[in-house]
Amino acid sequence: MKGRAVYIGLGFMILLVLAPLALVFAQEAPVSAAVEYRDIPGIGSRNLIWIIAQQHLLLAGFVLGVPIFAWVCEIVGVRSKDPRYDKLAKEFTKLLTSAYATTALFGGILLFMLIGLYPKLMNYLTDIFFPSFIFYCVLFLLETVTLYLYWYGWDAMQGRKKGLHLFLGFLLNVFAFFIMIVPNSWATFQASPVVIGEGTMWARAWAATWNPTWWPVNIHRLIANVVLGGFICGAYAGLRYLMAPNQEERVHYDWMGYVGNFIGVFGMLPLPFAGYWLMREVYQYNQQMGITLMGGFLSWLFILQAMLIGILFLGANYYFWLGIMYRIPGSEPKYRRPILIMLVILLICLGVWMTPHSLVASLEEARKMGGTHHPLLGVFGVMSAKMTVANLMILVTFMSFIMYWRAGKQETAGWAKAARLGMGAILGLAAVVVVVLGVWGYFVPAITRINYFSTTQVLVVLFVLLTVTPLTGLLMKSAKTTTEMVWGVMPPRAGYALVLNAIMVILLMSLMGYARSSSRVHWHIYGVMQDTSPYAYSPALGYAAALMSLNTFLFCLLVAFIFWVASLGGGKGDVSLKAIPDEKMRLKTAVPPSTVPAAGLHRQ
Amino acid sequence: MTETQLLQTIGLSVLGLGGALLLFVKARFMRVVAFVAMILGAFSLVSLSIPQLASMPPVMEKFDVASIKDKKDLAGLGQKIFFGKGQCALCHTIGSSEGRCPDLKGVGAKLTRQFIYESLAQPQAYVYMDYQHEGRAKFFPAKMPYINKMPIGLNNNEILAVIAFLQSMSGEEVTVELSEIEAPQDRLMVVGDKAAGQKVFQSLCAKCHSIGGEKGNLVPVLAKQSDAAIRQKILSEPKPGARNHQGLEKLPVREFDDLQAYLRDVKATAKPL
Repeated sequence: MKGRAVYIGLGFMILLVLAPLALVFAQEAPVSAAVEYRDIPGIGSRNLIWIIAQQHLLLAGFVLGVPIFAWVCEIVGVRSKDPRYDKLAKEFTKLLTSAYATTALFGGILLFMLIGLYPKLMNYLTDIFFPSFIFYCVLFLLETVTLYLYWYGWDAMQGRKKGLHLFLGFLLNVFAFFIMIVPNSWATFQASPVVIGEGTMWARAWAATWNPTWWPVNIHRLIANVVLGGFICGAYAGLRYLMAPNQEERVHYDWMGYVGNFIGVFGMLPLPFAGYWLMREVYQYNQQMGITLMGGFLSWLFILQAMLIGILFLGANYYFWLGIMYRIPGSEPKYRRPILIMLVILLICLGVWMTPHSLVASLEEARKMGGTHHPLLGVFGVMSAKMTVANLMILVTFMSFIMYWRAGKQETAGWAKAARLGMGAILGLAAVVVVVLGVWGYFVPAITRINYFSTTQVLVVLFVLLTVTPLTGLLMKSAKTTTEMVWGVMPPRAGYALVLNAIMVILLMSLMGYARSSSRVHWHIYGVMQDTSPYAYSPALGYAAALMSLNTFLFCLLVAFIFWVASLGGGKGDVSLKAIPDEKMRLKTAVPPSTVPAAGLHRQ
Repeated sequence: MTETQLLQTIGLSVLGLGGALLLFVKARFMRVVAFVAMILGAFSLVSLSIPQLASMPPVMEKFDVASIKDKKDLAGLGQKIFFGKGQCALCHTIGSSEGRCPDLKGVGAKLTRQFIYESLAQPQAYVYMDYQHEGRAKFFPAKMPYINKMPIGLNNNEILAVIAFLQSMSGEEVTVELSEIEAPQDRLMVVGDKAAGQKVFQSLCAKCHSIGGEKGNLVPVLAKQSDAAIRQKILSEPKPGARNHQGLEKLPVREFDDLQAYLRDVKATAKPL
């Protein structure tokens, strides 16, 4: 089995090596003319760039997101003195180290391809951003050195030197953050360029960097990277859980999957707010660009986005619910009803979110309806309804999380009853406010809804998150464990749920990348440099979705390959391998967590 | 087989293959691969089932002066620009109140030619929230872009053609003369009184500029710039906090035209003030 895997791996490598040879067929430009574009017959230059850029971006998202929570895990390990967190942080970093080189490799390939296929654009961008190119190279050097020290010094810097190791982790994140925001400035400049006046090359680069969508994209990507990293680690754990040869390994990967899902959900909750801010900035920068996104040919894309986010919310909640049912024995009768209610709310919200503004209807159907707007469903197709259900879904997911947190525990604090009532009131009131503002939003001008109502909805939900979480944390500190949490007993579908969540996030990133790029329509740099290549058009969603699916599949294979290679390097030393051959036995055996009674990131 | 049908066939095949693998293969890794393939196949199929709209680059209407025989031709070309390169129909409607911006039905009859020109080239100067002056002004969230600047960037001839279309579709007489269109690309509408423009210059510009004087002599600057560039420079929005051209964006269109007529005359004769 292992030998076959090696052959498959080698085949994949050969494919990777041979693929670029196709570039020798790249069309040559006439000698006399200044070359603006080169093309590759068959695949096309745009598609090639699309695939490479997508792989690079997804890998980069993972590589920049993982250090954040690996470092946080390490801190939790130091503070709680629980060695499992340190081991988990190390395992996260192992994945990061393996993926880092591949990310840089794809970055290099992307750069060479861009220079070769889009020389006009690259000349222009180099002219403006050359200083930040240098800065970027320096950052990369610093990041690489820090990562090597952080990873290879892990065991050497235990004990008294742990503080230094934590500082390296901090530095790693600082450099990673700058590595993310520097290229963001290049991409956001293309979407929202500012006038570049005279000045030194540093002044010009800085002026171009500080463009209107730079910070919204920075924040949005920072959070999204954490989400991507969390869910991919979750999927990795899910896969390892499904393939685990013994109970000990299953316990470990069940727990790791839980932590990955927790991190993903934790980041996912504020992500829509960051997206909302970005869209506001896009509208403020250029009305037309906003219209192209939300009301133009890309409007259907947001229905797909709703579908993917909805499934992601369902998947994340489903995993929480499975955790309550399986990891906390005897909890099923107590939580079955609330889970059912939450499922119904989520499904209704998903239905509303996915309702398009104008339906796909034949002429005859449209006549019968009195237009493309359905008399009843049309009401759900507008932003007021969608903002409302998005906020409600966040609240429901948050409730799932709180429910999971509190399951199998009994509060002992004297003020517990009052706190529970207070939290219930906050949640209930928030839901009412969100719905009332959503309905009211139909009767006010759009600008009032956008500026005041939607913002208030967002603030109310954030208020719930920021008040209920610490309150529950305080309650749980003195709570008594009534039912021990049991790890390693989740059914296989939990592993598949983790994989599903990761696929949804990858597809979402691909989809919204396409949206961001297509919002520039036929411009390389919006309003400044027109795309005059044969690929100046934005392809239809079906074609784009097929390419996104291909990209996602390639990325998954690539990540699986990288992680598999990483596992060859003695990675299994982390967990002992005592094979239990009987699968039924494996799934039924319940092993309590190794060191602390109620394991879980939030219980520390 | 169309591209969509081909992709649908591939999506269905992937979905089916994934399903078969899940049913018959026991190896966990392959089962997960099949599961992923099924999700991606289903996603592609859903995406292919919704309206397939590609966004093509706008067809640039070639402004062939020779093809314009009369004002009807000019208005026809303006109509194409209105719905094409000008991207006006993205926000404005003609005869429907569902647009994001004011409905333009009858606008050619309600507004003067100068007002329309200013609304296009200097949209934030004196555009009313709602040009129908009855009752409370309706608020429109969309902000009118500078139509003579990028990304739309209509040139003067194209703007005049759009004005001709707006007048024509409102049942008004087209006041844009063909002779204005035949003017060189660089030249803009020659409207305005140069004598009145000189007064505008003295009251507003002479604080910083002069014609042939020591301080801020504009003669060499004007000599190097095209009419369109001069117009653009004056119309440019001042940077926040800068003193340059502050208040000029509020200059009434008539006075602006007068000022431009004066500057054009200065450029031609380079006479000192």
